[in-house]
Amino acid sequence: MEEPPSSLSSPALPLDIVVEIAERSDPITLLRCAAACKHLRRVISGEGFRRDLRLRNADGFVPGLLHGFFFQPRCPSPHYHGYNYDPLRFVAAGRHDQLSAAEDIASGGSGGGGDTYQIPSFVSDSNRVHKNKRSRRIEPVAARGGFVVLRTGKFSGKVCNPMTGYTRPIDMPRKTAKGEGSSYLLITADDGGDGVDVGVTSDESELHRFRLLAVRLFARTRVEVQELTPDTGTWGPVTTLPVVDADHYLHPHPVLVRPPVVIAGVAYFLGEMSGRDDQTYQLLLRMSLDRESLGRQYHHSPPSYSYFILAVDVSIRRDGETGTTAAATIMLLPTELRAPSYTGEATVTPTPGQLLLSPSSRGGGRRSSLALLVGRRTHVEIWTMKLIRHGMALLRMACTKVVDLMGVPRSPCSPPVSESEVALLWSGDASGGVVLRLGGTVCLLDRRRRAVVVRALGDGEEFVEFGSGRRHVLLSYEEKLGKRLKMPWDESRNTVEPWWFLKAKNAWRELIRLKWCNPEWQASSHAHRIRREKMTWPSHRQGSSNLSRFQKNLEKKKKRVVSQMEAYTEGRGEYGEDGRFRCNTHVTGKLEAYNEAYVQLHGAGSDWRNSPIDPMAVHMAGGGKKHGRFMIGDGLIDSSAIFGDSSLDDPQEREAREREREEREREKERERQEREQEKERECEERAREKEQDRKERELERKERELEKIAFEQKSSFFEVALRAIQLKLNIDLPSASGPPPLPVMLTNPALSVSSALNGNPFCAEHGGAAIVSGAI
Amino acid sequence: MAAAAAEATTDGGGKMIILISADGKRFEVTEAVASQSQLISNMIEDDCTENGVRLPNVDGDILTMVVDYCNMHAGDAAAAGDTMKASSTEEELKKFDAELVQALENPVLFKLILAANFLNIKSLLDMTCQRVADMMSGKTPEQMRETFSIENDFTPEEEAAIRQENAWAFDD
Repeated sequence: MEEPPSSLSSPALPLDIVVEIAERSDPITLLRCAAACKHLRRVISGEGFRRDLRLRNADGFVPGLLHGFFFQPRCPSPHYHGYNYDPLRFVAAGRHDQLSAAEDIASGGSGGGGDTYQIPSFVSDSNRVHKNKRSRRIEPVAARGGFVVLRTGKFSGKVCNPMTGYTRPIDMPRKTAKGEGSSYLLITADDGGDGVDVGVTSDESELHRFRLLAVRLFARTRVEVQELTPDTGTWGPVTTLPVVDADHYLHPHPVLVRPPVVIAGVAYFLGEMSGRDDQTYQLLLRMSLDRESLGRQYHHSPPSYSYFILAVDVSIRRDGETGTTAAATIMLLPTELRAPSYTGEATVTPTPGQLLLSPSSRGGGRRSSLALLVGRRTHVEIWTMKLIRHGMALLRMACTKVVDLMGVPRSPCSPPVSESEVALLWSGDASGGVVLRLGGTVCLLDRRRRAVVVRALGDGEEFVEFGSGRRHVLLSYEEKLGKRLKMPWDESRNTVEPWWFLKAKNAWRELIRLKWCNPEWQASSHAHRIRREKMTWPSHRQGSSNLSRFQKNLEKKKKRVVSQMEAYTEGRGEYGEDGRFRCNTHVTGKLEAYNEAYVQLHGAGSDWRNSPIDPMAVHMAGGGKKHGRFMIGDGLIDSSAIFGDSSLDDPQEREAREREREEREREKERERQEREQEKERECEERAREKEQDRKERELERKERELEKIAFEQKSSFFEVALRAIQLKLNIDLPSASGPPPLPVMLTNPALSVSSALNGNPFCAEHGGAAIVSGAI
Repeated sequence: MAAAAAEATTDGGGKMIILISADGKRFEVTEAVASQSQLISNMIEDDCTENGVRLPNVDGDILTMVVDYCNMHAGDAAAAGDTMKASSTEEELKKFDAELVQALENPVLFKLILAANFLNIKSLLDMTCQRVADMMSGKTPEQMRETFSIENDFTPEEEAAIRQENAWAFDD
């Protein structure tokens, strides 16, 4: 090609190009890049960078969550009997297909990538001393959340964090004839959260917080749990838990076969009923194959298994008791697992190595539930479980997803995989990744994304050691990177905005620049700190929250009922080692006065600390409501509790009260007036009615009179007529007897006396004139 | 093909653009080749390429490589028989790319990166950055600082903390 240019000095690349380069490198190089200078560190640990990286690399390498596996193969020693163990390798999961392809073409596959790194800090110091001698075999017994538990001897072991180099030697229970005997459970801060306390917090002050439990199951009737005391490396007392739901048919030798999973404070172990673990199975299988190859008629069918899940609550109860307090339950796995698999082909019961418990996120939310992965020859089935009763009982389970394994890129010379060579090795609680082995290829099943992806780890390298028995050591591993580093406040702190500032990133930066990076503010902050440190009494800790909120928070923190006065004292002082309460003189004075007043009110021996605040005592102790405020708990005390319904001290209140009273009176007056008016109106009405009545009656009377007059007139007319007729009759009809019929027509029945008299004009012949005359 | 034919008919072999390097070397390339660079593509759109494009940041040697690369990769886009081996397949291209960056020493590679960055040729920048990333694999932070001429602005305490934090990545 071209001649190199004359100037040999490298031009300085701008940092953004260095970042571009870092994006394309492997995890370890990336971390080292981040250690080169502040700018790079800031960019690499920033959120934007991760996004770039994800976009660029389809294999989903996230620097925040490195996972991979340690691998230690075994080879027969040429010098003496036994085996040599190669140094431990770390195979990281983040490797770029793109990169390896380019490299293969460029250099024929040579050139060490970032995938193979020894991690000497992980293995004990003795290995470094004897560097030239053979490496010791490591015996991992548990690996979770960045920590690894190793067995180093019959009674000894250690807990390490390979990332940080942390090592703590511990005692180990003796192995049983059938293996470890115990199932070890590491609990880290990642298992907590969501209101579940697992006894480990991600406290900044202590870098290595973990709990290690050894769980043993005895004949399905009881579970023994022992917890390690990390400070001394010794095991605590044995807690025995009765197993609930053990009334299924009993089998004497249950064995916990797979690594446990912790979900919401409950640990799940996969167990096998008959006491055969994977190792036993392999042995049996080989025996049966041997027999078949010998051509004997004796056919040893592969053993059948029945599995169960043991659930143990490992969270810390609210009453502050540590350790496991809840019962353990056993959940039998349904028989579907033994039935023909999802694809319809008849398959044998999966061996323990083909089953793995794993957390699964349901509905994309943060709440996770349990899933059982079943490895078959061509696919992996994911069975999601529906758990009830705080995760202690299995309601149902169903195969929700099938992941094809045929499309996994493997090296062309890899032999086809038989059913027994599919093994699920490990599941990462934090990353959701599952490490599985297809013959000699180690793959990662990545469930973080919507589509489940299986890809080969270590460039699809074929680990031939898997074929030659089980002596290799493979330890999967995941750990969050780049946490827990305290940096002083400078402008580089603006890398991670708090979420409530996401909408206004500029504002956050400005805040940092103008406030926390402002020398004036820093100076005053420093001065405040010095003053605080000079105080001989504890500082005020209630913050800006009022007493009742502080009390509630305190209750939450202490997990018990806290009285108002206790919260008050808690916020302003503390109890020294000698049990005496220390606080500043101001508070002491207040408390003494309150105490005095309280005793005065409630009698000697009354407990003011654990009683609600007595407003009267506060009022007495504080000498009233000085400056309009109560001495203690001003926001809590209702003034009316002391002063009745009028507050003399508050002119505004008084005024308001007076105004109100006036208003009320005015209202009353108005009502009274209204009532009176009503009454008057009623009276008038009544009078009017009476008048009307009277008038009517008068009218009637008048009418009657008129009628009477009319009748009288008429009757007088008759009389005249009658007299005239009589006169005529006397003349014309002498001695005529019998009355004339005429007057009958004219008689008015309504007319009383006169009519009766008149109506009977012919009662007597003689008296007729007399009567008529009388009537006239 | 239709597009290529149309191009061939309109300007008969493609309009030529002259690139002038920092040390005055002139390169005559077709528009199709040159427009792989986003920078020059923009200039073509703005019609300011008549008197040649001056590239004061790029040396002649580097520009030779860039032009080679562009010629190679423009093969499928340009008209047949116009520049060089039009039948260059994907594998050949990859082989060419690998050879191009494989032989380079750091200073040249860096200059090439700078040129790719300046000319805004994405594929070339990708390839060269990847090459550097590969070369960086296994280097200590100190070596990286040396390579990239980065000033170490960590205090010793901070550096120790970082090393402690990811101790496994720093064990050599």
